[in-house]
Amino acid sequence: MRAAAAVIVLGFTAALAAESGPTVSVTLVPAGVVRWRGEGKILPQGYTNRTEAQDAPLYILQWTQAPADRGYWGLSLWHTGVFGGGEFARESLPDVRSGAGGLYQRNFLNVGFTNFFATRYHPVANGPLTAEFSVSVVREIFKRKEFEVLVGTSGPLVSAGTLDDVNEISAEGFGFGLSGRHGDKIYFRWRGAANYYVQLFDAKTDASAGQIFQAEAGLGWRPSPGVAFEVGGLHQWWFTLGQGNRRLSVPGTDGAVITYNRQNTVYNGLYVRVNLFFEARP
Amino acid sequence: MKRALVLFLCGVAAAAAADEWSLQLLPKGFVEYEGSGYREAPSGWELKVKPWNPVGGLRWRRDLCADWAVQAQAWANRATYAGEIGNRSGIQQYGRTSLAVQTLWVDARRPLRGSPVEVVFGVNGARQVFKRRNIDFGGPEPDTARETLQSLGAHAGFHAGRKPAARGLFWDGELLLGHSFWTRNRLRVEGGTIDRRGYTYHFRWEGGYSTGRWRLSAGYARQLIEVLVPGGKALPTTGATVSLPINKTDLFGPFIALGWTY
Repeated sequence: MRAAAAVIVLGFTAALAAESGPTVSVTLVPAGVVRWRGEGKILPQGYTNRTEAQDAPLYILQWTQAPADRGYWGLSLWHTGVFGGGEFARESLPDVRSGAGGLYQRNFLNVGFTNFFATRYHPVANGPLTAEFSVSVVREIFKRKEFEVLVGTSGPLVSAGTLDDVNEISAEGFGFGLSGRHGDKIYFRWRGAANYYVQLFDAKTDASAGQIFQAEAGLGWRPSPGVAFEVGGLHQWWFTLGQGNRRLSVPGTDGAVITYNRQNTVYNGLYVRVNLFFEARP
Repeated sequence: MKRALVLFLCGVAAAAAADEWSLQLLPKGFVEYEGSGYREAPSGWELKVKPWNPVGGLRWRRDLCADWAVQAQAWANRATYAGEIGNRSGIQQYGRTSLAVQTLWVDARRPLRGSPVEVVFGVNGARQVFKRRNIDFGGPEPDTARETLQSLGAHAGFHAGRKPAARGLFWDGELLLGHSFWTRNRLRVEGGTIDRRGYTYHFRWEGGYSTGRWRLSAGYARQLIEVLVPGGKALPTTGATVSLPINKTDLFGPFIALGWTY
């Protein structure tokens, strides 16, 4: 299934590249890690969760027009999640009622995201730097399963059986960035970008809906005009707001917590990238 | 002390080799703070204070050569006590809070190839001081509290404008987005899950008349400072919350500006 999807994606991008003469790059972070933390206003108790780091391969598919002094466009799609081989990790919620101690809930959680960026690149005068302006739509996906929830005020934790849940947060925003490429056949490339978000379709959430900060740096080798290979490191910090305050019904309990008001998602990993450079069609 | 510092900064700005400096004044700047989150307080969630304060900004720019320029700008408000309100477990928390905000942005600027627009990249810092008194949380709280938030980060953005060679109308604007790599607060507690980072933005647009040397303009400025810290401290007597882990401050309003170009 995954191999088929990869073949379809590569075929699609190759066709796209041949039409417009740009660069197509496919990036894989095979051993990336997601660290997610949430904080919630679940009256009468506030909750902060504890979540183990999750193995999360990341896939980035990027298409850019041929570089031009007047500027050029690029589109990129970032995805990690269960579909791409991401693992579930243990999530636990302490019981924060005064003097209670122990756990209120535990379950397994996978945090994924599918983020789309449309970026305008413009070279900076007299140098190897490129300025970026992007607009983006981002979606964070939370999959939970195997809930255990505290019964009453003193326990024990009871299994919710086959109950599971998927919920999402999406946001829309814009960002600025700067990147540089130094060298030719052997090159060093770096990039930093900050994206600011609002949530256009979520009237109940704070209008200031967070930030995605991205940093990446790597070494590349371009053995021929048509292809380049690159390895490096990638970091993404994402803070976003949500309505929170939602629970699933679990009989005999106050319910299983499934959403938070504030979430912080940090992604780290080493990447490999293949850049395919296409000739423009006459 | 503060007045001396302002005079010192004005002196430094005037004495420094500059191509342009500008003094902005927001007679009625809006400062809106919202802190939220849970730590030590069982259900401490949010505190809000929204004073209207005079806000001032001092901006200095130097063109190093045709392709490089540097700029520094500092902004601060004149803090006054205003009513603060919060929620916790259905009990309202009231108090009087003074919020002083200071920000500093220092950056380099280079034009885009074949374009009058400049790309901006640099570093920024912010400092916020909260003085809380007359707190009531289910009863009067005898203690006062002083919380500080500090953050340092980097930013990128764009700057554009129109500068007439002699007399005429001009406009100037910039939008910067920043990420804070380092944050710190005074009233810390153990535990918590949110990263100690943050983010910020700065927007300024102004338009007016230039005589060649002097510029008089009106505009609009807005800054956001989001700081994540291990806050959540509660006072021992009533349990009133006096620091929070997630802190958002907006500073904005219309301004008038007086500038000088060399």
